[in-house]
Amino acid sequence: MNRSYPWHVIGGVTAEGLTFRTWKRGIVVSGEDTQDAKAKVAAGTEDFPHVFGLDNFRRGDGKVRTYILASILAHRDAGVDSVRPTAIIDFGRQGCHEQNLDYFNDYREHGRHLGRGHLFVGTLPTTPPCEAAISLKLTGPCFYMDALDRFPVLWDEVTNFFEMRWIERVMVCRYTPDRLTVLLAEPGGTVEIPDDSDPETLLRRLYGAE
Amino acid sequence: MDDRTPVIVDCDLYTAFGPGVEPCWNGLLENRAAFSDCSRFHNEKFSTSLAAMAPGAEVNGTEEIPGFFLNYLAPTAKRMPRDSELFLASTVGEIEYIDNPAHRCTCDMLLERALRTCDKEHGRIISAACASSNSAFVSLFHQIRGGRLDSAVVIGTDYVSEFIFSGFATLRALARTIARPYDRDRDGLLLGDAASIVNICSAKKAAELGMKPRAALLSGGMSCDAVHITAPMPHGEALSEAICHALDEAGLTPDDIGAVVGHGTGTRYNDDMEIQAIHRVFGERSVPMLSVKGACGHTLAGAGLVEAVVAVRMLETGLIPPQTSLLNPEPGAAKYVSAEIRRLERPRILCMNSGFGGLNAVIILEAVS
Repeated sequence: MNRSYPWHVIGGVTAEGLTFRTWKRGIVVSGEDTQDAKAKVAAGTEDFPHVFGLDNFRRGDGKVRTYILASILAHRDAGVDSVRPTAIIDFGRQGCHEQNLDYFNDYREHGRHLGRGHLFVGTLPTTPPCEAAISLKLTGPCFYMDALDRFPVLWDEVTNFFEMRWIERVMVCRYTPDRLTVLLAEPGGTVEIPDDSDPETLLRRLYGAE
Repeated sequence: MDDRTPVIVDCDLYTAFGPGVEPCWNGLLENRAAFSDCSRFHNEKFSTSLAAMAPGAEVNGTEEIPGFFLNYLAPTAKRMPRDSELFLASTVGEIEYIDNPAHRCTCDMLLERALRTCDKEHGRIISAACASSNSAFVSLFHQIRGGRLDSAVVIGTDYVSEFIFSGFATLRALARTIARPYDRDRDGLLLGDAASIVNICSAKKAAELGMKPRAALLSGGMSCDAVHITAPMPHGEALSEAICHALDEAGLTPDDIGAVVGHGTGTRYNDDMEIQAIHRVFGERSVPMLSVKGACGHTLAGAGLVEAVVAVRMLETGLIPPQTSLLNPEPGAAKYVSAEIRRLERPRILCMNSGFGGLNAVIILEAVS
């Protein structure tokens, strides 16, 4: 079943490992490691009117860094800066299982005395999108949602955000074990989305194959 | 109030004061704190051993606490139609299973368990750190106002675990003495167990179900500081923006608000930020304010639900409980907080939460006659 939503997609990116491919402009960035990928992403965004804050890039784990870079590239793909009020919804099934284990195993191995703060903070599902929000200065609502893969719930939530009249853009994130997709939407127009369509499938349908 | 106004028709709590709303409400009115020594894990290496633990929750070890809570909440959840959407606010779900390699300990496992226990067809987790509950309220507010949802069951639960306790100790956020929100001499937060439930539907659906509204959810607002992953924005600009968005959405001014149920963890940073945000919005007006965390502890993702239930009782009784354990108000907070019971002069309450990541979520509840 297709449903109609009162907004439109303006760009997006899918990251597989350290290779990022944008859907609208076909930009490909591939790094040997996250620092290398960061340098290439930063080099490609020099002409942006908004300066992306990457000062704290090192403090996040690989997942956080991927969120930050993908979020920047999604904006580049859409040809927009990040100064408009933007909401973020991270829609997943993964939670933070690996990060929970990283924190607690480290705590256990060090005698169950004190853990490491940055590992503990990483156990919140919202840490990756919030780090992206900090890097891009996105000050709108932000939360993680797991609706057991009922994708119409995600697309309804995008509509929700636009009904908050001050939100001008929504960034949708979808993380799976092997990839991260980030999509940007703005209000106005309509988009038809099949009920089983995840963000990557929607981008593929709108912009063609990678 | 129109047909699509979201109304609260039922609520319940299980906190360190025990099962039910009234024990918690009475504890707040009597200025009692519900902290005791936590014996769930070895805690001698931490700065405190105190936490607000729900009596009777440990049946077969801490792994069973989520199931115990869900079983307690299930009868209230089952009063709503089976096709009501279940909103579950949780930070880490069934985290005590982390020692069990055969069991994923993510929130989705808890959601599936909640759907079975509460006999609901569909549900979703909303996770926004300690702002999870209010974020869920804001989400469902727009779903109901927009006609995409008729009824919902909102459950918020987190509990005192070694995982969480050690994490907050690592961040040096735990109090060395007692949690004293908005007090000049506060030195941190104390954690608490909570399981809370709010049944909510459109006013039209409530009438169809023959359920009496207890309070109306007028609006909500959210924002992200986008400044620091753990520390809040020092002057509370983003929180005050979330409050202003909620006021605008409801067509209200600050003067329409009768009281503020704050996040009030008892940490220096959080409380300072909140006080500044309130001052930015309310100016010189002495809007009454309190935090329940001085009594029930910081119940993380469940905090907003506990506060919403307390706000419903405030609207129903016209009373504002005293600020638990308050001795010397923080200078900027002296005009907002009190150790005495006060009268609620205006029938609307602003509830607000802030969480790691700079997440802010606020809601406004209104009395129904």
